[in-house]
Amino acid sequence: MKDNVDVTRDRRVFIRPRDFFVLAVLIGLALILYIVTWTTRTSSECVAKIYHNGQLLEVVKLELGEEREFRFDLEPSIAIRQFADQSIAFMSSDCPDRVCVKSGRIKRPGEFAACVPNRFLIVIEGTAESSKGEDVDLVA
Amino acid sequence: MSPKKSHTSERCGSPRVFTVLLVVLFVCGTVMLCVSGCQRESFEAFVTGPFDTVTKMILFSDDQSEFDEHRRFVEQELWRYHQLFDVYNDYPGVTNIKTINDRAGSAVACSEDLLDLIEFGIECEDKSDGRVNVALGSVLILWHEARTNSTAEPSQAYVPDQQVLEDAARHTSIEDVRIDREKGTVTLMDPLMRLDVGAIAKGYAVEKIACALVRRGIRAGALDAGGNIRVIGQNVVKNSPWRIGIRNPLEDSDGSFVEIVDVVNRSVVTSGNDQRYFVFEGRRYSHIIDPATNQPAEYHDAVSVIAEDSGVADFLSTTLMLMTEADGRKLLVNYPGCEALWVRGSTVTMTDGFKEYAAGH
Repeated sequence: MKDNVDVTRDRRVFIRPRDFFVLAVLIGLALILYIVTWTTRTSSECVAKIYHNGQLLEVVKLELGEEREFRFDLEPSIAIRQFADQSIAFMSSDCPDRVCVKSGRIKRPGEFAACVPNRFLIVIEGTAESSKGEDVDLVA
Repeated sequence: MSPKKSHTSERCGSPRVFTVLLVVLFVCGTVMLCVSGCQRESFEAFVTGPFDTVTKMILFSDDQSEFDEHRRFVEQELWRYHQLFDVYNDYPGVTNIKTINDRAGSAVACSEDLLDLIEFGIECEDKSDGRVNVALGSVLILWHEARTNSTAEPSQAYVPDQQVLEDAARHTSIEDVRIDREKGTVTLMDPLMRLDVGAIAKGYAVEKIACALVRRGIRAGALDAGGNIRVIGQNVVKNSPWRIGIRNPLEDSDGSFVEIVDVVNRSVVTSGNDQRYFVFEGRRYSHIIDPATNQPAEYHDAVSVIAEDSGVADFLSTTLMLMTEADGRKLLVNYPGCEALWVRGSTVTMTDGFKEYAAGH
């Protein structure tokens, strides 16, 4: 019983309305910060990075409706195409198995395609809505 | 809260607000630390080349320099195993599968790593009832040549002659592969025999490297060697299991998934007909060859396996491609903890255990 009295007295003394105001301001600030970072994150676009031998050759913004073909002097047989649906793919290569061309279009963050014999690599980066909730770490 | 403490706050009226502020800051700080500091940062890198594929590694590390050390280690190891298990190329100072093939008929001294892999291969032949056979090289090379030539010149595409295949198949008996552990040698008793470890080597190497990373102190990370995935721990940045998409092998699938699984400390491997193949007279010929017919396997479009060991997952996914689903399910009884998913056209089936990994998606 005596303990109970002590606790209520303690609470009364320790927290006053003004403190709630300070807390509210702090929580409000945190919320605003959270919302700002969250919205900027989801609105960012996907990019496709094209590497040759580990060297970055091109950063392609995967914008809706944008179609373009990429060719490179250092490996003329390689053609990479950016599609209007925000995907990108190897279109041609002179490698033996054409695994690069057969791997088809990629568009989700984390996906990648490569032409191993020609040392070409395309990697998708970014946190785009194009992942449509299928946000996976890796693909088997 | 002790009465003594409350007495102190009562006396010092103005610092009280600051006390509250301090508590709030302390709590926020602790939370922030747990979100960013306690959890290590995620680093990614790609290695292009080993096992004729791209290997993606994701590791959680304190800083870039620590990650770079691990990255270099993984890269070196991948190349080392690639050279060791290579069927087609020589490397200076390296005794590999090609060396053993070139010297078929005589004993070849090899490294422990190579002996281990060949021993694993012999075990796989037994467990798969001869379906996955590392001694099938003489047949596989005929298909390899047909595939490479037909892809390069589609107008002159061809398939190997059945009689030639059957002649080659006479030199594929696993009993003719002799390992002498004491002397550290491998002998192919049949001089026309050729080893090909393509069906098991990648998964085996990935497992070895993953285990080495764990010994180096890595508690969370992932290796993905062209769809041969082995994860360590869980994804600590997301604080959740690793989420793996199982690729739809159909041509018009546009990169969609047939399933998504959540795994911790597991390997996920897919074998399929959709990437390494060639077309002859409108028919597709895949790279997975059935020793029973010496022709490409046609039971399934793709099979994915979840297992603890990446070597086992790689072996099982190839084996299951070479048998009916019913036979596959029987085989899996001998492999507790290993689960499989089969894709045939638009039909997807899986073991109950696989369903559990996929639950929630």
